[in-house]
Amino acid sequence: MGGKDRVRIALVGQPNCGKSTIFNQVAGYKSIASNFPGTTVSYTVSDIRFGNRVFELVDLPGIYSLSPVDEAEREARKFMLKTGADLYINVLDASLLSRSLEFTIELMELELPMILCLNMMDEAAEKGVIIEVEKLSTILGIPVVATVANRGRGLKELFETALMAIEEGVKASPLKFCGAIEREIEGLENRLSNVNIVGRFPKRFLALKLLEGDQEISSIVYRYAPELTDFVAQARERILKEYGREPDEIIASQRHALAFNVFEQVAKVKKGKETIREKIDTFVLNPYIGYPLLVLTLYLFFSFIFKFGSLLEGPLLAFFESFYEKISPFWGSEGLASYIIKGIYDGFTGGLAIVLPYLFPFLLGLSFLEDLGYLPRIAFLVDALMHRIGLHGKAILPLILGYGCNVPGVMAIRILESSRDRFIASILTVLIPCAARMTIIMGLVGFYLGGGWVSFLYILNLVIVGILGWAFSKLLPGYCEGLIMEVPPYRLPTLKGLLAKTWLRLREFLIVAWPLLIGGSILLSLITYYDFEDKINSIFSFLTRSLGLPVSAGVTLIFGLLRKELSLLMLRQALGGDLSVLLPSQILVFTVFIIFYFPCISTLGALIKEIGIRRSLFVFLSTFVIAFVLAMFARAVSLLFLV
Amino acid sequence: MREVLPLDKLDEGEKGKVVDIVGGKGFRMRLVQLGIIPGVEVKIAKSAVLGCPLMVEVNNARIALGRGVASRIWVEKIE
Repeated sequence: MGGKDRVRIALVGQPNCGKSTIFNQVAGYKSIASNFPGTTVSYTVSDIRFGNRVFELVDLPGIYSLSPVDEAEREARKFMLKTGADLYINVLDASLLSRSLEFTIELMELELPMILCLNMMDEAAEKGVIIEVEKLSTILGIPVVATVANRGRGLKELFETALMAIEEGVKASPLKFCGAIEREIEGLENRLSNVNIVGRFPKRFLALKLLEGDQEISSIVYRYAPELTDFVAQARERILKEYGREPDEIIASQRHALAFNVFEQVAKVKKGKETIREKIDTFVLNPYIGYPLLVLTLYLFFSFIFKFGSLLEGPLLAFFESFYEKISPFWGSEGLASYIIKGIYDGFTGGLAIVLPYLFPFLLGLSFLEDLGYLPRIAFLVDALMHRIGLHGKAILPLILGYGCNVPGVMAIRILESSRDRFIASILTVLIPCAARMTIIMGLVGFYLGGGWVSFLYILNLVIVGILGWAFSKLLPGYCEGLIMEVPPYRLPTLKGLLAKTWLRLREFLIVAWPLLIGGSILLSLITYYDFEDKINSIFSFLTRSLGLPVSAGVTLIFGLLRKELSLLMLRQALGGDLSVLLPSQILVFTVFIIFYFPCISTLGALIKEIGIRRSLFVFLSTFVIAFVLAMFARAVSLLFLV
Repeated sequence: MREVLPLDKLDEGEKGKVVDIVGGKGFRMRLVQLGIIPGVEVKIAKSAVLGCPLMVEVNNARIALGRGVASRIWVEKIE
């Protein structure tokens, strides 16, 4: 354990097997768990107090195998090979035991200290899969614990077993294949005995990766032992000749056969009848029913947010306004102090009256759709449309996540395999109106102009995203690989899970964004007090004038860079606390500009991390042009329909 | 009689045994990871309609495959 006093336990397993659910059950809600494979793209760490012991728990992104094909998988493998943990808990979806065991067998080749967690035992039983846990443990030679993580069942035993396994030094040892391939592996293992790096990785693991042709591992090994290059090439040639298929396929087939063999020994499958969940998909995924259902779902979702929010916004605004009139005589309306107090008050009440009423129902509804498992169905349905705009169905995930917040949306582009797909998806993702922009759409446009204009903005946004996606895919020719995605079963969200997840996301607003909003309001007060406002506004007057906005909106547009909501709150403040002095056309133009122009600073940060600084700058600047053109368009529309 | 055809030519509810996957290593790897391996039995849980993907069932899991993807997986139809 290298001198550190605390043991580290890592959760590893295939996507959507419940690692984050286990993590959240013991760590308190810290990791977003969804019913969508690949929600966790980077890892979360937490200290856990368990009885009188404290250990560190790591929630790794789900991976299907140790041959990484996307960035999230690379991340998890890097953790296992470099950082490492004192114990790995391999989490398996018991209802998918046979396939999950293939990955377990691969993990065992790493000769890790590990135990198995058979999760979702209830779902397995429902599907008619009965598993003999003890027998599985005997065959694999490592402890196995059965759990139902979302109900907290078996978790105490799981971590007791984990801590005990560390003390006892439990370690997995690889299972053997059969036939010619096994002889080749052992032959290569022997040759590896005198290679230097063999202290760090198990010999058999290296031999397998070399035969599979894994680029990363091969380049490391050949650096130490260039003489092996020919030996491996010949071995691969022999395997190809013997089996008539690529070595990596043969090895996968061998693991599959082993896993299936273990599965047959420990599991009995009663032919389960078609469950209700599967029947639901017959409707949801049928295009003739599915598309109307999708539109209806989204319509209801946004109506719910709008109804809920506007019910609160009006009374809250009125209350805070009259309350301020009552208390303001104490400090008057002159002097620096009064400006600062007004700034704090505006920032605080703006967050409470304009942002939160829409943000809360939005996050709650989003969590519900996520946990239910509707998101992969959306990806399934829109795959055909996404192909038209040059991306495949999986690219819808960053876009959907973008509706919550662009930052996780941009981070999720790493599940896309090609750099071309990632670039196009990143441009489209930053244009998606996130929760912050949603509050402006609802709180300003919806509140003053009505729900119809809210629909107009969302549809306009989708049309633009579609056109841009189409244009970029024509400009950046590339081959689109096509959709390959696991579709998990529907799961009924638990109330506890929903509230915890909503709270986790809401907290981010309360502790990061709200203080920023208040700070921004104070700053604006100071700028006004020292008469800087006119100077800044005059710099931006070319913009505000050509868009027909009040000149005082200029300064508010800069602050949207920090947080999009800030623009709205500052606009309210700059207009003397009353947004209704804006003309309807100005409301529309302002909102359109805010939706499309520069992503906020956090999104830009995530963007630079994912696609690099040059491409990010390109995205950054092009959004400005797009926003300007569309705002002009909105102005024209409003002259026709809103005056 | 052995009848080998691309996966997207099977009808809903029909079963096939994977014979070959045509494509580069990365492409094969993605499928292999999800349990679509030569020798494995797959069932069409939903056929492709209106350009939508199709859905196959492999070892209890449901996998959505774009049409282009499915046309590169060759299966032997199981009666």
